[in-house]
Amino acid sequence: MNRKLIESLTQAVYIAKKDARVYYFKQPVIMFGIIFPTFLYFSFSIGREISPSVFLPALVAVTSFFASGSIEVVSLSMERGAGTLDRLITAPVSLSTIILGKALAGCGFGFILSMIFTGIIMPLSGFPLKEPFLFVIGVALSSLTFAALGMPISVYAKTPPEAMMPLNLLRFPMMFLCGVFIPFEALPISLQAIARLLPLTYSVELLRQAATGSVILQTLLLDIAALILFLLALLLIATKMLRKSIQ
Amino acid sequence: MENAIEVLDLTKHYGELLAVDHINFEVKRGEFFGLLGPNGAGKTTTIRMLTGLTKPSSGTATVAGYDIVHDDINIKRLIGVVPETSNLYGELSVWGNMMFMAELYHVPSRDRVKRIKDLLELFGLYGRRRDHVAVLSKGLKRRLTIAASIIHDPSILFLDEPTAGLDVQSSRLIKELVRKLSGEGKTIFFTTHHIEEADELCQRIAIISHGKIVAIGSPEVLKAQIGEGHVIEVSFDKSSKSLEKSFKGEDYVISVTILGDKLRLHVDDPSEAVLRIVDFAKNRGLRVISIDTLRPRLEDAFVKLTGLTPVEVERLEQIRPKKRVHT
Repeated sequence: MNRKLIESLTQAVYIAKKDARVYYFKQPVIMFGIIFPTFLYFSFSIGREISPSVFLPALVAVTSFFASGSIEVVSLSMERGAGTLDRLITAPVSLSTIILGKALAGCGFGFILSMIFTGIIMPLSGFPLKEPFLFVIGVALSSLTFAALGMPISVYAKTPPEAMMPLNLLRFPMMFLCGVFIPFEALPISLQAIARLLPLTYSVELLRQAATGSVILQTLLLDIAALILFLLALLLIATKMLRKSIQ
Repeated sequence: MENAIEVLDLTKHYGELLAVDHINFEVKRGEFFGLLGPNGAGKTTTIRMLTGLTKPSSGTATVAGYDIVHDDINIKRLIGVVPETSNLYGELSVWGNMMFMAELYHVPSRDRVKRIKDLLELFGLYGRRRDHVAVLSKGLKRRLTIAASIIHDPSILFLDEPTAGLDVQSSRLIKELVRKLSGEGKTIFFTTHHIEEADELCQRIAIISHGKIVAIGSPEVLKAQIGEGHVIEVSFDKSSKSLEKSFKGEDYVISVTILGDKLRLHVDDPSEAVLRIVDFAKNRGLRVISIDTLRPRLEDAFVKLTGLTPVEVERLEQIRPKKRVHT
């Protein structure tokens, strides 16, 4: 790895570390990152006849989905509103490093919360995790991709609600289309085609395979590749949008 | 490299609005340079273009020899930026903010603690290092913003209205600190709409109005450009109104106006005029209560060059009391 790349990655980690200290306990983050997935868990689990092998991996994916996406919505918009984004832009840091740092902060939050949920609900429901290593990798990759998802939406926002509203408009339909409530296979073909264009589908599929241990290599590779492609595309779009915002 | 900053035909449009209109100037290495202009004249836009916060619509500029569009990362390693509004993280402590800046600006890890400690002591903030920035006063935040912007020891420092909205004491302290940094050989690029502040601090000033540079030079050169002679304000133990006519007849006086209990005399040669006024008082048995010779003021040059009225300049606020040379 060349020196410039190492420098950029180190700076991205510094930005992520700073974001963790500043934004992890902001009110919208607690709302969408902690409270919402908790209530979702109870809605799923109490008085319903859904197999834990179906809903638990999906619930972890949704936790990661909401928690990861909440950080950069709050951090980017608050940084723009408070003028601290200017401080980052005037530092010797590329715009892609700023975006990556923010995504890492979101990923960290989503990953930690998802792992806490996993640690609590899996033993409670008596559901054993069959491929724990793959599951952890899946949660990390999903969290990074979901963190990047909110980035293009948050680049121009000056307050968290400005970004939260459009992001939720995107997130809530995704929950119905991506195999969280309804198994993917049960969806009509046309909706399955739409679902294939959404990253949550691949995350749910990946975590389900890891949780149940019924891994199909081809599907697994497709899920990982799709999440990586979504991640790179979203980071690229967010960087371009940030560049455009300072034109 | 003699010039720290070179600006050539720099222009910025925001949609229909022409914020900066083909400006040209250069700032020498180690110079204290001021960009003076009323609110909305284009000062902040200029500084934002030079520091990479916005791209120019046309024209070019170099900072430390690097092009502002293509080499912005190299420029950012060499400059410090103090924005108009303190932009630190209120949720982090004073020390935490400084540490984050040190990390971001590649200050070697072995030097970070010492560098931060030295700067906080220099800026009188070491005792507050554990406090969250959110609880600091505006003046302290300003000091910390400047300290954070020089964590990497930049050779060029951009300050956008650094004393705006501060009380007199904080403002004076900030000016002292900036003067000290200038004394260390740093190039200072300073924007302000405080005329007296620019006069007091800057070696050269560019006056900007409606996005255009209307004059550039040292404060004294700018004052001399307006060529309006000198002014003497004098008051006697007799009504100024009753003396107005007598002074109008004196050959060394160009014009006379009454200013409260004072007479304001426009003269060509202030030293001769002072002697003649003393003679005038002796001959009439008058007592001189006060006599002040006013140097040509930067404010006069500013008013003339920007086309603003004195009332509008007053509204621009905080014009300090007139500087007087007591005789």
